[in-house]
Amino acid sequence: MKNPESRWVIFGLSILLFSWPFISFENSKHISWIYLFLFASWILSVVLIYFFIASEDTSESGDAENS
Amino acid sequence: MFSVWSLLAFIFALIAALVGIGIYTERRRSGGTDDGAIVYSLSLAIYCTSWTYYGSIGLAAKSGFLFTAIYLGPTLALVAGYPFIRRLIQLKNRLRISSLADLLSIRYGKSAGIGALIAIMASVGIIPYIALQLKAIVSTAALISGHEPSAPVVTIGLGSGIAILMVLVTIFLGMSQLDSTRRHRGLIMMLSLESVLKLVFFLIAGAFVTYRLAGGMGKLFQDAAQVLPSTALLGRAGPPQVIQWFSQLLLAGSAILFLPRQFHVTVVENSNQKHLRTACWLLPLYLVLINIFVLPVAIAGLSKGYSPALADSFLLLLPLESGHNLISLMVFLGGFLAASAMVTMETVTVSTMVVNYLVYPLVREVRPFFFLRRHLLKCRWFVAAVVVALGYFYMSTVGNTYALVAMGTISFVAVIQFAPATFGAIYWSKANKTGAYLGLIGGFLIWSYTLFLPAFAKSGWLDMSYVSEGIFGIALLRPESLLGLNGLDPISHGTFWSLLVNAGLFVVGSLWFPAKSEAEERTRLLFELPASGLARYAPQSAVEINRSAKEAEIFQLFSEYFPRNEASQFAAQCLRKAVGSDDRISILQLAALHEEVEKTLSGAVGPVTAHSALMSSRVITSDEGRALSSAYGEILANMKLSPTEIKRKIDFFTEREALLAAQAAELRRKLAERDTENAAQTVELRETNEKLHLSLDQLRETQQLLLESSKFKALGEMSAGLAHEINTPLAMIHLSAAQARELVEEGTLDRSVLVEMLGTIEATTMRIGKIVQGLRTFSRDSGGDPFTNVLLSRILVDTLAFCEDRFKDDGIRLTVEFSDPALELERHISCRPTEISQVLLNLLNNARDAIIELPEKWIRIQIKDVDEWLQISVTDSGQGLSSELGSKIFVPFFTTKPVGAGTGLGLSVSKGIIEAHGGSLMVNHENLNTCFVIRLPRSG
Repeated sequence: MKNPESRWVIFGLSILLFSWPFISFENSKHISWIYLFLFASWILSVVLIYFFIASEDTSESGDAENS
Repeated sequence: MFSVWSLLAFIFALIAALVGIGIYTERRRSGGTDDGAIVYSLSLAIYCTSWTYYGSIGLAAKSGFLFTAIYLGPTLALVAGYPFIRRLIQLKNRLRISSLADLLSIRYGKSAGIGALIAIMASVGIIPYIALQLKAIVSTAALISGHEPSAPVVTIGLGSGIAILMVLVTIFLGMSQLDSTRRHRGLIMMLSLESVLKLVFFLIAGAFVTYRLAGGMGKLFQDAAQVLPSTALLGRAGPPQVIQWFSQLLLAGSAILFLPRQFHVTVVENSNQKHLRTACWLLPLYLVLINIFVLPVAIAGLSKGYSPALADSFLLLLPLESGHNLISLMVFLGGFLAASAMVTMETVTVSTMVVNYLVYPLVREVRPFFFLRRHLLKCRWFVAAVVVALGYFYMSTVGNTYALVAMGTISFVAVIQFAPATFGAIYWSKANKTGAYLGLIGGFLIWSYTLFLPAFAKSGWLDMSYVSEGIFGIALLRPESLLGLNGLDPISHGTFWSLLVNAGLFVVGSLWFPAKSEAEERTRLLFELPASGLARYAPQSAVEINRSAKEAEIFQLFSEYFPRNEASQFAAQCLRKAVGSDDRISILQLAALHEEVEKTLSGAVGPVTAHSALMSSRVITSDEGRALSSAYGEILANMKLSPTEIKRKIDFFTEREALLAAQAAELRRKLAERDTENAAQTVELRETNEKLHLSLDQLRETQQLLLESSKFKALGEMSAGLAHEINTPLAMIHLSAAQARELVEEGTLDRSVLVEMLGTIEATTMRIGKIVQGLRTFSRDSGGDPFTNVLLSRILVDTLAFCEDRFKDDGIRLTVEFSDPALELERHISCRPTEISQVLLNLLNNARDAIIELPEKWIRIQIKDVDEWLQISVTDSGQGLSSELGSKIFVPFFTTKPVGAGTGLGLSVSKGIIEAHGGSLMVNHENLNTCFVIRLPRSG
């Protein structure tokens, strides 16, 4: 995931997970499922961001300490 | 239940501890200026205010999962907005900005108007938000202390006490220095600790309510369908709810970037751009954790039969009413920390903007306020106190009405109005001041019309018909159904219209009213160029200015805003940075000096006021300004560049610099990887080398052993000859002794016969002695012996003594032939005699072994001079060696003898010995018989 495009892939995936049709599934009898889905998707996004950040070059230009 | 005063005591103790840590962090020098990635990331969790503690549970009770959008928005914004935030941080470092107002006012022509507009918008949007936080503290304190929310002891006693405490903390940790661009390490440490505590407290309280009081998640979710309102679940969401969901995502995403406190913590307080990477995942993780128990607590409260109207207080109420006061106290303190962090940081940022863009212009321009110039820091403290006081006043006045409760989200819509002008400033070269003005004013007006004023109407402060029927009764102007747009919730509706008008006017204004002043644009570009880079293009006849006169001018300017000692110190510092130790200031150094003075003043009064103050001072006189313009004009002429071209080149080189920096970073990374690989390979090579050395030592030992073995082999072979050589004289001695004994016994021993016999015995023992001496000489290591001049015939005699009798017994005819009799008598060679004997004996033994089975057995040694060489040939009756065999026969360990009969080293060692003597040992293939030829240098 070293490509900058990976950032947009994660963003797009997260938007997809947190938007229609997923948030519109009939779930009044299974609220626990949508709770699990929402938080699992959220955690998945965080994990993906973490791996994206970790795999990115740690010495990006301009990453000097600020004055 | 707790008394109000005990709650105040808890709060003061907690704040005192946090401020103590903040002061320690501020004063600590050993840690450098870097806050650390974790501290930085946690400080961004200031986003979670008291609304997270209370309001999100209330929203969950009413609207199901909608509350998560407020926290998912920042997660998405950090993913997509990382390059944007990074760019903001880079600009902050370069331009020394302390707020979004600074950034936009600098970008749009150092416009004080833009800064003032943003300061007003931020104040209008944020002061009610501060009031909301104070209200949360007061309401929860009333609940936990058993008082009515309107009780004076709560609103006046606790409320004002907390407001004063907030002001003191803000001043103490956030405004102790005049330089507003300076980072506040102590404050950031305090905010990050508050973030940790509020998360831990929330998780403990949430888990307690969910598992201890409500029977666990499973039971709660079983109850959910019955207790949650039918419109609450997203699963039943229609298009309006979906739009509401997306508008909340958008607002929350922009809030994490544009809320004044978020901008300040994210951009201004950033100590290292790398920390932003950590924040990109750590802050979203924090938001996930702090929201895990929100919905379960909301369901638990509803399941217990509490009214949805009380849902904001469920986290506090549930443990309190079940008698778990400690958990309630923890919730109260967590909510207080969340609120106080927001109030402190928001007060710092709003006050800075208000002072820089609304107060300082007055102080600078209006004579009655001139005396305040030397009390700028106190002005800022005063404004901070006013901001908190206004928040407190708003809370006390508006009370628990819609105008307060809804203000959190309405504030989000206010700050999203900064988005078009900010994105345009960074990414759109045609964006200009006119567009920014139009967009910001238009967006702000629509926001006020559609959201801010209706909130007051709903609270009873304005006529409600304004909302229901529209202004002047015009239905199309109804603030929540503008131009007939129905079906949206008020927030989505207001967001849509305000953003549409804002962005539209910004784009149209920028395109229709391009920047008028080319001179202004050129000056801006020129001041962006580093003076040192222009030096080589500078005209030679540039004006030079007296240093002390200029220092006096700068001191005079600074002393209007700083105490005299600081003014003197700052003036000297600016000169040192821009001019060094030169007595005279060149015209280009003057430009650099101008920049330094402006930077220093910007920290105190903001960039726009600093710019105005500098322009009206005599730091650059009109003559110097003309000279500077002329110098720049000449530089431009020398560079043969137009301002547009310069800008293009700056853009090009900036991009190129970024590209090169990225490449350099990549190279550094690869070098580091290669260094690691090389280090591993070096270790491996060193180990291999050590093994090779070990093997070589072992080989040398083995070789030495083999050489010794070869020698012992030769000695063994000699032993057989020695038996014959010594047996024969021993037999003669024995015979002589036996004859002598018989003659003595018979009494016939004649004296002369006895003498003859004894003579024979003596000669014979001497011969044995010689053989033994030869053996001893041969068996010792002669490698270190010096070369000596020895008669060749002597060496031959000594050598043949070891083998001639044995050869005779084997039927081998051994002959020695000298080509010239003189050779036998006179030829000396310089050598180690023992080694030459060893070679000859080796050749003779090989010859014997080769012919022992042949019918014709002879060995011939021939000595002759050939040019400068003495040649010794050892020829036997064998049939000669093939050329193939001849090429291998000197190779170590090559042997034609049966396994175990020879070491294969004899000839190779002999060749080495002869070559060490400067000669050669070879096979004479021309001879029909087997013939080895030794050539040694003649020595006489």
